Amino acid sequence: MTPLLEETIIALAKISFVLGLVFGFAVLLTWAERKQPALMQDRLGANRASILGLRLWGLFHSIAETLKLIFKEDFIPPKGLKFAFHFAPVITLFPALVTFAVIPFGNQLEIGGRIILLQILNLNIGVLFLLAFGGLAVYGIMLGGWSSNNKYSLLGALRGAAQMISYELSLMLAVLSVVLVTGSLNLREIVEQQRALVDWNVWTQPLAFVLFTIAMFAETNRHPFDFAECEPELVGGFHTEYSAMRFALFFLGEYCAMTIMAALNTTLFWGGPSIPFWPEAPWLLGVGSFAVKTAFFLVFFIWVRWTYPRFRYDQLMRLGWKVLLPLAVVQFLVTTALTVGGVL
Amino acid sequence: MELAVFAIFAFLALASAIVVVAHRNPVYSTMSLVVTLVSTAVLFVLLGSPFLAALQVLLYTGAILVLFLFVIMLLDHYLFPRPGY
Repeated sequence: MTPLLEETIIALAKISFVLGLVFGFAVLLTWAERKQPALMQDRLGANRASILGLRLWGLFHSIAETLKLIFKEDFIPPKGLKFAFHFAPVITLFPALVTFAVIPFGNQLEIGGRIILLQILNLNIGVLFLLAFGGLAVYGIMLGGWSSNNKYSLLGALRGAAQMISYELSLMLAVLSVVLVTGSLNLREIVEQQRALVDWNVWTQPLAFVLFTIAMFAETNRHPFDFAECEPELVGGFHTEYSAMRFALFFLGEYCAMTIMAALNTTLFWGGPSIPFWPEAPWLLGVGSFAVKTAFFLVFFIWVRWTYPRFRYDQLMRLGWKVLLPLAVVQFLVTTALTVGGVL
Repeated sequence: MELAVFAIFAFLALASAIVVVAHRNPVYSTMSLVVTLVSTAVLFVLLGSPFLAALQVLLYTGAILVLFLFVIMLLDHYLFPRPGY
């Protein structure tokens, strides 16, 4: 085989693995979003869908739902902007899928004397790439809400966009603290420096971790910050007019964004694929460790959703601008001082 | 390969730049400005400056153009064609 062909095959294998990982998490999330609240509220949850009498704790509900959404009418508001309306769900999904390329999901693997880094794209500016393309998700929400020609959609879109922009600042400052401590924008480098349990960034940057986690909820428009959809006030928010597969695409985009945020949290603060007390673990266990940590944060998303009530919109803005942002700035300055002073 | 990528994104940048000034609907103009900026970011990558490319996407498309869209969506609808009017 020529080297170029080999490279192509390896890259395709990695891409299909990552896509499988993200979509697999998305499918499991639709299931967990039903089953976990059922567990928390002491009820059974979805368990009716069955194939040949096999129920599998309601896992087939994801398939049943997808089939239902495929066969539903694809309604397009007659006075809306058709092109933007068609395109918005795709724009929501795109950043979540692209940004996963720079996340290191494992250490390295050796096949026939060839070392393969378990990461699609080992960019030197990985963190910047991730933040830059992650920020494009706003357009999907804004265009979707605006082109529907519906006041609830427009309100939801404006709220969602305002909230994503406000919390992006705190999120970026929290990420920058980690970058300062590591001294590199390369995500592989950030993971490599967290091989041992004591080196995990969460121990040196606890405040950055808390800020990142709060901003993560706002960035993905999840409860308690889900003002973009806010059912009791805005019907369905920015996707009120969407139905069938376009609606499903919005949801897929949301789940993928959740997965990428959980994976980023794992990578930045919890050592990525590293396993406590076993730095030389085989690569497969590293991938497993990464998946388990990511899954924990996904469960955490749903956990919070069914524990806390929704904020009011002014409370959300006050929290973002008057509490999180000053805290993030102070934390960033202190980290800078300590890094320059040689303490960290 | 490099030439092909350059050709595609240079064409995209130029075409969307024309749409920015030619389209009647300001929202579509803003969106094509997004396409222009992302395509020029790709050209920056081709020139060997991925940092500049990332900053361009981060600052222009991620922040400034979102504010453009914000203002346009909140403007009075009789100033330009909005859906349904």
